[in-house]
Amino acid sequence: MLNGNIERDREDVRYLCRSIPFDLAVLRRRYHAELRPYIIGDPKRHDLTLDLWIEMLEEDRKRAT
Amino acid sequence: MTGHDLREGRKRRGWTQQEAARRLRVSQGYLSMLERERRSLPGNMAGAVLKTFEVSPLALPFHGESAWAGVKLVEELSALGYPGFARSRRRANWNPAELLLAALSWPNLERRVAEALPWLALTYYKMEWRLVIRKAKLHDLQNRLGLVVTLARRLTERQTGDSSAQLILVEGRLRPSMLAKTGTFCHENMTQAERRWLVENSSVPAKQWNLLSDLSPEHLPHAEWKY
Repeated sequence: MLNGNIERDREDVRYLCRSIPFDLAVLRRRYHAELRPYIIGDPKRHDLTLDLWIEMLEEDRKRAT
Repeated sequence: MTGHDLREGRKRRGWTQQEAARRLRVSQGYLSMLERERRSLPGNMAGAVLKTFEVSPLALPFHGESAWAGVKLVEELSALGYPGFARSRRRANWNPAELLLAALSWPNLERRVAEALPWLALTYYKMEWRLVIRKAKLHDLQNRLGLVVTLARRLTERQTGDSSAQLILVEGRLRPSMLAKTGTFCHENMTQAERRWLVENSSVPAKQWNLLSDLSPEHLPHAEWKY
């Protein structure tokens, strides 16, 4: 899913995060442990996408409270 | 929809007023008054006229700006045949030109609805653009409209039909009145994180229209569809 990072994808991620309030720290940890080692090519782009998503989701949660 | 549109639609089908009135379930006298514009077409009859006479939705009357906030965008896009949503069995109630303006006036749109707008501009490229541009300017929507038209035009780039030429003209008419202030493509509630991201990563067409958006032709779900 990290391959796609257009507005539609981010809207889907936001919706998912609102529906299932998962732990963002766990998301980051599992990305680094379970997904990143298997990325073909340069993983930095995906790192940046994950950083954006987590920042966006944290902000979204703050807004909701 | 004018009386002239009605008469032309009826004649195209080869119907007498009596036959057309029977199909529309109105009296011949009433249809005659509609055609001569002695009466205006009631809103609840417009859909039936479109279907019966096979008239383009572009002939539908406008609802007026007070109705823009309440339009059911997904249903109307579906009724107009947008392939990104399940095909609706209901008739289109909104003129595509007004539907486009109404959608652009929303501060926030679901992204899948926003992505449908270039399809609307392209499919109904024969809409009354002068009116659309004038109303867009009145509501400071010219940058959003510009992006829609640019994306629609880019989708036709490999074609050399009327649509491409028409859309280039519209872009040209919008360009001089482009707003200098950076805005969003109907996404005012985006997070600050996304705003910062999009300052750097907006698509070329969005940057051309001073909008924060990464929407580009290749991301449109209908990019591969035939027009």
